[in-house]
Amino acid sequence: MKEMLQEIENYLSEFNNDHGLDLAIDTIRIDFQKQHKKDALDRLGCWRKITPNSNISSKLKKRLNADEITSAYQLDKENIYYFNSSTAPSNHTVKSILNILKDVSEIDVCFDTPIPPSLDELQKRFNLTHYKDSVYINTPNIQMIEKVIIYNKAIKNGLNAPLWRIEFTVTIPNVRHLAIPLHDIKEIIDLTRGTHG
Amino acid sequence: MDKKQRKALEAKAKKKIKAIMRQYPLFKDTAITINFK
Repeated sequence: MKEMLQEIENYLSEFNNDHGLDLAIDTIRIDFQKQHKKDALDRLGCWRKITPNSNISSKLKKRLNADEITSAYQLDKENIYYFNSSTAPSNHTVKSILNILKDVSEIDVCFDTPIPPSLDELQKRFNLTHYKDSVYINTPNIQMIEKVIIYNKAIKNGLNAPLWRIEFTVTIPNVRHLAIPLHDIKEIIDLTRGTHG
Repeated sequence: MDKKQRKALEAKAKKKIKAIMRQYPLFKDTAITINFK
């Protein structure tokens, strides 16, 4: 696995250099049949079951909104997961997500809204940086929240309906004690709705 | 570089990354989706 990830990273680095790009992988998702791959997955390392109510479980389920997930497993300390899905019990479909982030160091927490986020209250509290169609809070000065990005996801993804995304880059200092600063995240979301305080 | 050119380069990179992954038995014959940040 590490060999493959290294090969991908080397390729991307070279590709970025050649084309003046900054491509970085956010997510790799692989769909496959559990009965054909489970043994190979087990040989990679120790898969630990994720608590169904944990924050990371909720976040990962969001990425698979079409499926009903029965259980999720994490590979060692890596940000690599696979899911059992109850949508196809006859063939035990396994969903796998690989986030190539070299151990779990940070995750993105996203909030989507059809209402354009208001920046009025936000700019009183934070230093906002505008770049192209996005607004960045590069130094929120909030523990564990490294960065906040607000952008028009409808434009980015060519959607027909209005959709904005507020994306929080959350640092995970200790993967064994996962905690997400949800109160701080909610406070920022409230500021963009003008409902703060 | 405009958005269209960038999308084209992203597609090229995704294709190559999938090809790299499929060299490994675990990912052979699998559906792979890649998202860039």
